[in-house]
Amino acid sequence: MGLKDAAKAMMEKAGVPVVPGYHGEDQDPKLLASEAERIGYPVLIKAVAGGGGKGMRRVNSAKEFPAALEGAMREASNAFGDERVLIEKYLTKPRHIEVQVFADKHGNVVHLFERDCSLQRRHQKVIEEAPAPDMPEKMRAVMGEAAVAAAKAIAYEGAGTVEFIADVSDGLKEDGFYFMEMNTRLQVEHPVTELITGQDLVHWQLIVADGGVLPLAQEDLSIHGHALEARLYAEDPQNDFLPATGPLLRLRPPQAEDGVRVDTGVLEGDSVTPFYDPMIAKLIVWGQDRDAALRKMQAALARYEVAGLVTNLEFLKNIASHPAFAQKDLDTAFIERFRDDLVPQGAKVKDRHYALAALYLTLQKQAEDAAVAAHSSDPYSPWNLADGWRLNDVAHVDYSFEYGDGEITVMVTQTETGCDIRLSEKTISASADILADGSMRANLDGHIIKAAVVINKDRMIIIDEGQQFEIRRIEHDFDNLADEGGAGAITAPMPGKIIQINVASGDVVQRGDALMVMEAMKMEHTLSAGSDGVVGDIYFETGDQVDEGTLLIQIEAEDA
Amino acid sequence: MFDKILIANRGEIACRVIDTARKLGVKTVAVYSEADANARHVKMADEAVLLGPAEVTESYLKADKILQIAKDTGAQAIHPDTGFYLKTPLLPKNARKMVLHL
Repeated sequence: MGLKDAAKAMMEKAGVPVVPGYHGEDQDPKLLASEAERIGYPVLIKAVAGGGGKGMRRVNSAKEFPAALEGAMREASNAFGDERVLIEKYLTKPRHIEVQVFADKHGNVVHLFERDCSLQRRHQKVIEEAPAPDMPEKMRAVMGEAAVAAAKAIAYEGAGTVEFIADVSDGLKEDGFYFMEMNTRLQVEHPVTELITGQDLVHWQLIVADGGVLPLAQEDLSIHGHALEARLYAEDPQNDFLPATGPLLRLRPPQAEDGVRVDTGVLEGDSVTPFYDPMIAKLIVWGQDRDAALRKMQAALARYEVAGLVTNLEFLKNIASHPAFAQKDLDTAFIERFRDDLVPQGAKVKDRHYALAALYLTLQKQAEDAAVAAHSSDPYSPWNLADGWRLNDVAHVDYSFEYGDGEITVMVTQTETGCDIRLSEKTISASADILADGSMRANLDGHIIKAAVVINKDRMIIIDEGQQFEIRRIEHDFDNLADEGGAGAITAPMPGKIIQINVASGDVVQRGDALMVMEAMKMEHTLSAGSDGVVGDIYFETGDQVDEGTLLIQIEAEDA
Repeated sequence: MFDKILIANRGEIACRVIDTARKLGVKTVAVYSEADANARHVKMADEAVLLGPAEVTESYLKADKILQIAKDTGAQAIHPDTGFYLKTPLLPKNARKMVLHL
């Protein structure tokens, strides 16, 4: 008997409902058929040796049973050299509902209601919520009692989660849920429980570990409102959700406000590495009811800015805005059922993104020129004019980008109010400012939008309406590559303030790794390593003001 | 309440635990791998101790080393929490090891 079976047997003894089934040694076909009848169709025949779906049959009626049993046994025998089977009730529309329990060493056990984690992809939870939608009060009480009984059966202490599977083919009913397993830890999805109960579960853990008494009794606990959690992962939904790695060149979660919480272990400038879980953050929202929470989730996802690597952000948005999710048509097959609606189709770069990139580069150049001019010995010299254009000439600056197999040139000409951006035989009248968060408020032919632009070597990522669009810049004038450190010495490209240092002396870095972020004129500039090597001395600290050309970091060749 | 705890984890859950510890005035010790030297949980904790190379078997799964670090830093309890130690369904009686007293 495996661990899970042992746990199930223990739970059954404690009166906790388990999936009806037959796990006996006697394999007489007649007995098996009568057991199937007792369990109730549809049933699932599974190989005891099990795995990979081999020797598994779903049986809908007694008439089909003998042939299905024969087939399952033959397959099991061939695959595992063991023809023994077990029979379990087949749940046609299962929902994963789990109950948070807490126990102290003084014998007190309470539950903090349920979470619905039915939105899963290959057993990985994607969106969780509390309470479970459409849960009848009676069922909540019975399930909570069962979870408490489970914790008591094993004399549990601390935070635990009792997982149940509920058959919702006929709606949620108090006799339609079964014990699956117990997790003896605080779950990733614990924040939804915290938001509906107003409790800090880590605080509870510490109290219990310290030998204290549970802060509240069962009758003191109640559900207030509705909470949803979405897990933001570095993974590629279009490529079978393959985990992704890479730098978080921009990571701006929505502002923490009333009812919006972000739990994260990474910051902008960090990388998602292949060594650990590719989760970037959990976005948790709270509302007076499920509809309000869902609206908040949609709005918060729309404001989430992440650039530099592939994420499931668009996939999460598609779930949060799917009518079937709003209508609570939930079960563990939800994501598979609506896969075509949910997997994003990939955003196509439009002309407007080249325009935004050129606009951003124009602003950046103005800011650099202004910073240089402000520090110049003669700030009034015409050669230090901060507008980037000199004399009375109607000069223009050209920016080139990869465009299909070729190249597109965007021509930016200064005007009285901003600039004209010419591309693809169109002219856009534009102006823009940089906002405090580093994003850009751009006016394109009178339409004012907020967008962010991230530059990483020749990559430019434009975050427009919450989506990432990546384009590549072609530099014809290599003097402009000021953001990229040469091999060895990394110097300040302009006067400004150091706002972030990503490396420490002795770190091994690769060409292109972000080393430091500077700020000048509200614009952020990431300084990257120009070559592979080891970080030598770092001469400044976060917050220091530096002049243009100041040596900031020395990168030494690794074998030196 | 404890004066000081060690958080034997990384990522968002380590940060989550440190958050509450800070609110309660409990000092925190983080552990980290070489890949996590600049990680958020390291920056948030009151002190942090290097475990080893990036691979979890060389760092976050080194239970003996973590215990030793807890003793050396004077931590009174270890918060192992989600993930590394308890990935497999445990036999329930092990459950009470959730927070280890030293």
